[in-house]
Amino acid sequence: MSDRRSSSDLGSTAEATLSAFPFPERDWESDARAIEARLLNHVRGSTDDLLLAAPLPSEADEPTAASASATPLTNSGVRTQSLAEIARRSLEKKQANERQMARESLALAAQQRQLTVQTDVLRTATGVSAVTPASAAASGGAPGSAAVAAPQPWPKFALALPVLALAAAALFWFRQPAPAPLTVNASAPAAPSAVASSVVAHQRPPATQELPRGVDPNSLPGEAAPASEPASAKVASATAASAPARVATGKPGAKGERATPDAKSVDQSLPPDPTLRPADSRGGELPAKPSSGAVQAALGAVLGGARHCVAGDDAPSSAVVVFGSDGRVQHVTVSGSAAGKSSASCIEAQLSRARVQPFAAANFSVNATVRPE
Amino acid sequence: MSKRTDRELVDAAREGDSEAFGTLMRRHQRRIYRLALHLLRDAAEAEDATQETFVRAYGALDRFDGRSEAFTWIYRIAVNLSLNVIRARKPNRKSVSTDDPRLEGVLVETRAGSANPLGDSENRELGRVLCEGMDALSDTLRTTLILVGVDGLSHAQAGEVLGCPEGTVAWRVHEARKKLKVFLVERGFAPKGEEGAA
Repeated sequence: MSDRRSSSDLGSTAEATLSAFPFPERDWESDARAIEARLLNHVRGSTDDLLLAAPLPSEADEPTAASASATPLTNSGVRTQSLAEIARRSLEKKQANERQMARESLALAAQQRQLTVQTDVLRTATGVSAVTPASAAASGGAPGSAAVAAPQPWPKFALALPVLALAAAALFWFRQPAPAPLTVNASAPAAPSAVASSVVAHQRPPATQELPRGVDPNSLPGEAAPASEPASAKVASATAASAPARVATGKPGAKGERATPDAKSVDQSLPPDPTLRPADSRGGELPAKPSSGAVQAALGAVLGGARHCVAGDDAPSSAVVVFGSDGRVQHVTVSGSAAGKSSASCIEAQLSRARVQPFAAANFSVNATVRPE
Repeated sequence: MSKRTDRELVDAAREGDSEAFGTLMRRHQRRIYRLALHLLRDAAEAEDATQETFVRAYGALDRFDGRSEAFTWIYRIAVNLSLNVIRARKPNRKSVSTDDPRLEGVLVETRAGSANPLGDSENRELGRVLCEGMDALSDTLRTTLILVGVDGLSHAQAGEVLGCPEGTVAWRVHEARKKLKVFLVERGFAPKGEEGAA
């Protein structure tokens, strides 16, 4: 800021000369009479509209209107921010952070599920599913990664993998005509083998298991679920999309995990969790009405302009500002000394610029007093 | 009887009260003339532009919608008319001459307070360089600087005149002053801060 101030400071003498640039006096009264004489022959309405238009082009490197109006500079060149502007930016930043966190959580969960599926496949294929954590630890490896870390089972896995894939494909083939009972009750194995039932069960796990808590798929751009897809269709699509088929973990009562790492396809089957929903403007619940602070800030930002409209008036004017549920001003009713004058439309135009956050009620009205400057 | 506001005068003039428009004109003619003088740098052209401004404003009274101050609306007409005159000029016309009417004002001022002839001379020279520096600016920067820096309009009022946001006005004023400062420094008028006032 200090750089900004100093870079345009002309020095006190030059500043004084600039601000009080003298000019020769004239006989103003005779000038005025000359103008009045011309007005006698002038026709009202003959002025070209171009003379009433904004006069000058923008500079080449001039900031855009939006950014310039967002944080205006003071007369001394210091950039300022209104409280409403600071609050709005803070809210936007918070929402952006939460969206980013949700996306990262989704990606992380998908990665973890993919890793779990691969580990389970390896464990089953190499016959180490019966290995207890204790024995795995005794052999020097971590319990979860014993099968992966051991060099010996890999050839077995290579041989078993095609067989396993064929078995899974055959199972899908037989199970596809009646998938609903299996998907509804994944914990009750109805298949002749534990492996088969588990594979199908994982194609449609319980809804509450599919997303990390606190993530509302509807709040994430580009990840909204399509409307009401049938359960069978979901299973079919999940089956088609499930490249790494998961096998049983040996616990028939255990809840299923996601069969596919593809977050989008899984997100579509989940209802949002309202209690853990991030503060997103689209997913969050709207307040019944705007807060008094927000209304005061919104009106405070535009009241200065409205006061210009009644400059010179003796008495203050009142205005009823009605906000719509979208946060915009629906209409303004002016009463008092400005009512019925051209300044009333000026006040209406100024106060109509006020904005608050969207709210649930149909509308919300507030009284404002516009005092003359 | 209390002094009538600009809006009341405009309302009255709309309804045919020619005296009301005369009052409005006398209230603002000095400022309009000074604005035109700084924009046009020619006393005769400034006088014509001032007359034309009020004649055109009177002709457009019915189109004044009240969303801005009456005087900023008149200012806008004055700026547009002055820019039209500038555009119609021959391109080889010298902008600053020894009989620059703006410098004439500086001379009158310094003659009135002639206790310090050396200071008067410096002020005259500073005024001349300031005029040259402003003339070197683009029309956009120069007009904005004149409205805010010379005429004392607020950024909001200048924004109404120029039809741009306050922030744009502030940016233009800042840019104009920055360029003007470079111009002054190059000609030996470096800012001295508070010492410069002594």
